[in-house]
Amino acid sequence: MIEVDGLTKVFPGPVTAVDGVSFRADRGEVFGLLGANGAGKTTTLRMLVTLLAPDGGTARVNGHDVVREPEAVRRSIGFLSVTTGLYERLTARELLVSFGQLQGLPDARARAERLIERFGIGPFADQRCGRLSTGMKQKVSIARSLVHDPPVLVLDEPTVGLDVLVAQTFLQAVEEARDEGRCVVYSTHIMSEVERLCDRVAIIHEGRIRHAASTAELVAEHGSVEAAFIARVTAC
Amino acid sequence: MTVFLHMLHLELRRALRDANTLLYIGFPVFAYPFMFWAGIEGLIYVQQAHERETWLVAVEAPALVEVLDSPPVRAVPGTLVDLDAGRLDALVDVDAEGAVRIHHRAGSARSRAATEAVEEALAEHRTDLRTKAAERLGVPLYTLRSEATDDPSRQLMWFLALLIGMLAPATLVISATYPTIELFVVERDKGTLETLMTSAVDRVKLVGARMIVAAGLAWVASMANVLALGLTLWHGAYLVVERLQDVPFVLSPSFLAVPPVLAGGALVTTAVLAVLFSVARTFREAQMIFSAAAFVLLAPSMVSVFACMEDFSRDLAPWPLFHTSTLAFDALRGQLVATDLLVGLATDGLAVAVLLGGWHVVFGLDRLVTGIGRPAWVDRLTGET
Repeated sequence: MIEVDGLTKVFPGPVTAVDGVSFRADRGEVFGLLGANGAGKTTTLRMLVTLLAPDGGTARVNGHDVVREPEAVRRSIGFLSVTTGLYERLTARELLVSFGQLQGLPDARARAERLIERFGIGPFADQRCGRLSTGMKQKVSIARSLVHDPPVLVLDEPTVGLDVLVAQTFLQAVEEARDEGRCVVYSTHIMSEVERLCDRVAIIHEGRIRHAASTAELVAEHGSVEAAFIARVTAC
Repeated sequence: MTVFLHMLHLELRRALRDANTLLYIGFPVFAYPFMFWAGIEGLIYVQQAHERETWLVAVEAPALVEVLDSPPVRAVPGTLVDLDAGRLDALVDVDAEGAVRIHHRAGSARSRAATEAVEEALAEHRTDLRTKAAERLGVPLYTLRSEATDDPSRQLMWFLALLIGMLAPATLVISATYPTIELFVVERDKGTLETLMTSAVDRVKLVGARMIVAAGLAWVASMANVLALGLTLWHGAYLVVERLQDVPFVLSPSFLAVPPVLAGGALVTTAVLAVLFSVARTFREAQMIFSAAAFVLLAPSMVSVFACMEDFSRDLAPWPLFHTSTLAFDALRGQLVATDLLVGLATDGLAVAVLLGGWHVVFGLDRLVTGIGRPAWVDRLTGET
């Protein structure tokens, strides 16, 4: 579903933010990208979702090349990050319907209503997004990222700043997405989330993948994902 | 096409729910009448204040003392030193060649008003002298008067058309700035941009929808400006200029060309601003860029002052923004040539196509929306990285 091979990004300076990153994530799988702040997680994901153009390597999402077929890639992904915002002057319902329509859904309204019900958005669906609480906004955000029923979800530190209850709801939604057969790439530095959600993990440090294994293997080898992460990063 | 319409709807809804956008559009409707009212009231106050005043004038020409020493002027002794010190409002003397000089302080409204009173008194005195001389010589004294042969209502429209034409490009630039910043720049430092850019919206449709909404709002605001300004000036002219009170107000049917002329201008202005703002990441940066570029953008307004007055309409027809003035001027005074209008609208369309198409080919439309990839010198200028 996602195939990344030697992906590289160099920013002016020059600063090599991502240096030959390669990994693969499959359908029905949550693939964790684990790294400290500035490790290159966000840059990698931004290349995957076509927000940034890579300087080297290739990446394919749902069979589409991120450079040559960006529009097809965008049709296949739902993207959500800690900085993802909502149009503050639209209501939650209007936002979901609008993004459904922009994605070309013929039944955008019906799809929006289903998501409103699924994520419990109903009580505040007609309030403008600017007036919603952080938790409400995040519910709307994940509903927005799923509005076009994408086979791939790219989530970049999506629970940062959320309270425990909202984070729980969110993690549950990610599990449901996986169970529905979607491929989820999940970037985080919260180890408990990795242990709960991720089937496989890649540890990224200073722009390079330092280790990739299944979560079970990491826990078996080091006792916990956190211990594995510290061991791999300090060894660099 | 459906997606484009949805995009248009989204952008329009976002823009119209912004109170500042509505303020921008509605402001001129109240601003021009208020400014006019305040200006007239101010003038009346100054005039009445001057009517109550007595101007102190030193007259160093004995023959003129009797002429000038009558209200509102009072002849008093004094020198240039007294004038400089503000103890005198003016000083009148006669030079070696017999010319009467009125010394005054140009930087003092009081001294200028005193000068006007002295000039008025002397002009009356000179006319008396000439009349008496003509009577002595037995020749009839003639007076001089120039009379315009064209219809007074056309004279009125010429004046209104000139003012509105001159201001049209300026109103477009001012009207287009806020919606263009709001639609193209503001979301660059908010998370909504990545939401939009990761959805499968075609970039041409995205930029097209934003252009149409921004230009549309600029057009509505500039139309409101022109309409409010036109009505205020028209009403004001009737109110202030006595001889116009019997002149009928006749609007040529060619005034209907003003909305399309402004629409073309709004599209060009918005495209230029969108390109300029492509290096801005925040509202503040866009404001900085606009401050620097405002003089260049307002140049068409300045040039058109002369173009309108000197009838250079045809020469300016192929030049976008510059012809906004002259075409609006011609349309309002009823002298619009159809080919000029067509050439003007065609060159507006061409200018937008060349500007945005060229940008797309060289940089890509993504950069117009995201601002990502701006030159390093802009970072240095703004202190951002």
